[in-house]
Amino acid sequence: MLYLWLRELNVFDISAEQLSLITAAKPTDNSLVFDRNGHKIGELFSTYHVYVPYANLPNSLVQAILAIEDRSFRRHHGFDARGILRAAYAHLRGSRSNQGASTLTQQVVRHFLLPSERSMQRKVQEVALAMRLEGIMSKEQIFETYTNTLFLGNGAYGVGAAAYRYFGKSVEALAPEQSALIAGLFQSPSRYNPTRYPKRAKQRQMQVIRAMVQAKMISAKAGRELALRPLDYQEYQPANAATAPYFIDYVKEQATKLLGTKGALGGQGLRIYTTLDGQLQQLAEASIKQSASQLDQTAERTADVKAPDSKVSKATIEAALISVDPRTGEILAMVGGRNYHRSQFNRTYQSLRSPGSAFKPAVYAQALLQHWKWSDVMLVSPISIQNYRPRTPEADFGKETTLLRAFFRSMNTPTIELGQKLGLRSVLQLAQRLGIRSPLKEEFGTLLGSSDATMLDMARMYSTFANAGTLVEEIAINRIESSSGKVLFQVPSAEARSRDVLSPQIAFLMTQGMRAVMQMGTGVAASHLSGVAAGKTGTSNESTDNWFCGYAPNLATVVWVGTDEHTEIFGDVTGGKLALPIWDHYMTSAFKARSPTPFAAPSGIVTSVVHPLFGNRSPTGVRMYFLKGQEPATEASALEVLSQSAGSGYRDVFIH
Amino acid sequence: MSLFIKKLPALNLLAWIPADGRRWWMTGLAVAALGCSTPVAAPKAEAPAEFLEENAERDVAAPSARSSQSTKQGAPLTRPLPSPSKATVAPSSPVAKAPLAGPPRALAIAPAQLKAVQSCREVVNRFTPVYGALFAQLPAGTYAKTNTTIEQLSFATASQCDDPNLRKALMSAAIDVVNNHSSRVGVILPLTGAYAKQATYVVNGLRAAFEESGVSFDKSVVLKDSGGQPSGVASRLAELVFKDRVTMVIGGFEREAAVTLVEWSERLLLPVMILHRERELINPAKYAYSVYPDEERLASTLAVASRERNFKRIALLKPNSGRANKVTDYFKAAVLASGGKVVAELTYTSNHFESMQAAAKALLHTEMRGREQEYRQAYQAAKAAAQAEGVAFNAKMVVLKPIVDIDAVFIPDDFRSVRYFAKIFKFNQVDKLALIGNHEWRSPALLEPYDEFLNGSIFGDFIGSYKKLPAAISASTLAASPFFVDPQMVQAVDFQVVGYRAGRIAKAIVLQPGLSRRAIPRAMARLKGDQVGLPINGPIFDKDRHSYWPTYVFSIAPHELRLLHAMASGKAAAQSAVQAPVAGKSCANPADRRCLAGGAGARLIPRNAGPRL
Repeated sequence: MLYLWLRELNVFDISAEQLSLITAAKPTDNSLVFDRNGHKIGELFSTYHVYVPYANLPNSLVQAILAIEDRSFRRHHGFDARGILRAAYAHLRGSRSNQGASTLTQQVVRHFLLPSERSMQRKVQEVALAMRLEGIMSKEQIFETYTNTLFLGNGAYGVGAAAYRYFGKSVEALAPEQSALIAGLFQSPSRYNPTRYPKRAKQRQMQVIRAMVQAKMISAKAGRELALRPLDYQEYQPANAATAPYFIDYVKEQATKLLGTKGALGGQGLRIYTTLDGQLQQLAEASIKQSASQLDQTAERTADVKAPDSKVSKATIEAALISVDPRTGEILAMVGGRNYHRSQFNRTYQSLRSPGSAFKPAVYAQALLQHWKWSDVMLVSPISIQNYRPRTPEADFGKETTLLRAFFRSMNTPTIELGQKLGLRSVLQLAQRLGIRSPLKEEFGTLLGSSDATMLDMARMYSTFANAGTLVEEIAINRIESSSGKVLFQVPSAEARSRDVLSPQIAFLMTQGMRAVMQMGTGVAASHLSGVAAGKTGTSNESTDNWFCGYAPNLATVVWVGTDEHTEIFGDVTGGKLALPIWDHYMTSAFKARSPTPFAAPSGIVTSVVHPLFGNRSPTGVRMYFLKGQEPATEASALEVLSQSAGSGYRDVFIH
Repeated sequence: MSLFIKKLPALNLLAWIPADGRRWWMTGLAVAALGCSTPVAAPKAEAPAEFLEENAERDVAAPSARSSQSTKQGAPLTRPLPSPSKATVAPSSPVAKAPLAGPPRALAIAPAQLKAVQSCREVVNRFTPVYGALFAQLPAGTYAKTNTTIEQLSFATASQCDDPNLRKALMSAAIDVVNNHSSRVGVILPLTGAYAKQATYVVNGLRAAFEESGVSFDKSVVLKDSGGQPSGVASRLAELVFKDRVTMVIGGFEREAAVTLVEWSERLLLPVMILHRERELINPAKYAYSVYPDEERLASTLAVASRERNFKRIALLKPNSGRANKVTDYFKAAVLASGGKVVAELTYTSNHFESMQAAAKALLHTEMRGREQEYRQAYQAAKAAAQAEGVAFNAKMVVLKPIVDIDAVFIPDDFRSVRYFAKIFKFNQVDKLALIGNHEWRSPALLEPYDEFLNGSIFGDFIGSYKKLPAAISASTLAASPFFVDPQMVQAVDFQVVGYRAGRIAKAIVLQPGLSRRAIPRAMARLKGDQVGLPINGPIFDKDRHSYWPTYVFSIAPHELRLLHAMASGKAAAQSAVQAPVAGKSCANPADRRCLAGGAGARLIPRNAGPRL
């Protein structure tokens, strides 16, 4: 009858396939993210695993686990009859045993294959399966499976994860008393969770130490010493939030796209090698932090925001920064907001904002492509295109300006007028070729940056200028390896990701234009960098968006400041006042780490000193760069002659 | 006043004032010199025909040689004249206005001699005081060839004319003074001072006119610097007349200088060429000629061109600096004369954008006044649109639709103002409006960067193609167009052209052998453009002694100028356009203003057929 019952339970013909869930189980591990120097900067997981092979387990931990869970593990064949009897006896006496009744093998079987119900039938199956498993797997394999798969509380699965979660270190680095604590968690991770119940956890640790002494794994003296040692818990700090949380999110998204997987990225034990420069990332974070007081003060000048509960408050001023190597497209630093805990919204690529005048380089680049030159003269006046009437400070009306001056002073109406002459569509097409992927509205306001774009769009565009007119697609991940070291993704070379958008000459002219922005234009606050860097401010209507986009040949950085609610910021607020200080701070410090290379003039470029208003050669003018043959031919300008005529007119033969 | 005194410092001033009335003109001068008012009338500004006729024969002779001969050959005054060293007074005013008083003594004079006596009396009464007054303007220490003669003359009396011998000697001396010239041209210009630059350009033009045909400028022309001071003009003139003995004088660059020269010209019978915009300044003086660009002609030519284009309702926008007042008035009159209508006349401040905007708004009736309801609606619509788009609302950008009740706007201002007006018009939703302008438009900056709005607008100028200017005038054209020169050279070219024209005319006159001053008016009247190498068909001067100055009308085309009217005439052309367009008609009467420069009236080149130069 017993036989029949056992047979009904299939204990006599357990196949290897039935145990395949255990034997073929792939070790679950977090995917790790590394910066460009190989420093771990993040982990991708759904459940927190840190796989540790048996060989890497510290002896103290192995002993502690065996002592408290299964002292005869090395001797039995799946179940321990003496252990069962000992437990039953202890149970009858009403006392507690320092050892469990189930062997490690049984626990493994239970964990993988059996329901959680408690019944004689399940116990019999458990023993049978454990015995069968012992025939298939080695003791080390079973032990390794055991230590890496069981839940140990606080989100951690396995001793490797638990070591990080409770002690902030790898399992190999655990001290014996710490190993003893972790070994005690297998029985009831929640009950002995040291972060919640430190006293209970300590008692459990003492229990483990006693078991080790009883098992003669350590001496009583050593046991006492261990028990006296303090347990230095460390609050869990996920690596993701520590260094570059917004970037890790971005990498996770990118890796998912690259590998075509969905949701399973976390447990695959991938090794993701990114482009992030840890040092620059720190500088980027610090640069935004150092502007905190200014940003908070600015927040006082924002329009009120009504919360869903009808409460009115001031919006939070957010800031974001992205920094790219223009030559390779590598994202070197990414800060998606001022506080990741407050808002995980990554403003560098998830936020569509008006770039304002930061878009203008696209207009002027198209002008240079169409054979305009920096010395060409525009007459500044209000203009009207259908019903569109862009604003420019009225003080500028009725004056002349060269293209360069209109650019570095970020004048609106000359830009619109220029765009009108160039053709709106041609400018928009160039902007797209320069790297703006966000849809651009086919209207003249776009020339002043009214069409939304992401910071990544802008970084792409400015990187193209920085890289002599060649756009290199940006990347965040250089390589992805599986847990076994197999390369799953290798980024193509920069050349393979490149395409020429502008000639080096046009790009150089644009760079000189943007250097002028910093020398004497809206970016003059960072003029000390104008020798090695170039850039452009951007401010959208009502200062809802404030930008500075700038670059050196080896570093392009875009900074945005505004509110998520698109609220107006009152007062004299511009990109030059809010975003530029952050950019300046970051680039100044970044250049210490990455010395900027000078902008080298390509062949076919000449320079001339030109009157900034009238476009003629003038010894007291400003230096302008031209394609050879386009430099102003004459030294005289009718406008200059007129300006010097003291009201008598240009050609007043009736002057007397 | 003190010139004589300076020359004769030991004089007893009152001792030489005669007690009788014979020399009371000197007394008058003395009184004037002492600061007292002189109760006398100014001499009539007309040359005595008898005097000219009596001496016409002598005028034909070479002036310098003949004059010196006449002094030697003429009968000496039998009654010794007082020694010059005893002359005591000098006039202080530029022109002594004290005629000899008292009737001539009643002597028995043969009727045949009466004419000569009267002529002599005229000389004594009118010309010797004038020359005396001018002589008094000579700077201290200046040596004049006619010193003795003029001083002797200054003591002559009308009664001496009754004596044939004395009369002959007196007339000879007078001719010696009046007609003592040396075929040289005097030039009085402000070579220092505010207009020094412009005056220097004029001199360059004069020099070019003389030297291009191998005539030495330095030998033919005597330059005097007025220093920009009108008071210095008479003094310089005195030097030119008495010391340099010039045949004619060019000057009058500044208004006051022009007035002074014209006045002296009339009294001295001295030919002068006035280089001043106000041509009417010369009107009282028969020996004064105007050589300067003609704004009136330009304005009337533009009126013709406007009418040809069917611009009937014209608005005037002029800068309030005043410099365009005259041309605006001329243009207005010409438009009205040709049957057009001036519907608005507005002023603005050049280089003041808001002022220009205000003028444009008034012109286009886009001001809120009178259209409040319409403005309110536009305001609300714009505000709603801004809110819908989520952008800031700017009330200044609310623009009422313009009411364009004009065909064209005349803007006599520089190219810069024109360009801004074009932009302001566009901002006010005016897609197209013809503009008309003057020579101040002409600049490469009018065309570049090109503004389509200006396409078809016209303006007039005194110079056509710079390529066709005389080679002697340095006018290097810009590579892109023969119609533009280096902007820094524009003023230089303009004034060089003025100087060149005056120089060509002067050279043609003074190089005529044996031509006396008195014969110059006739010679000037006969002078034709081809004789002096100027682009004028027929006489150079009209009956009012204004030199003809052609007007060229340009039309603006994309990135270039087109010469619309090769040449054009003035008032008559405007009238002829009303009566009958005369394009291509041959010129029957070369003296007609319409026939100048090879064209009958405004020789209109069909629109769009202008040479692309």
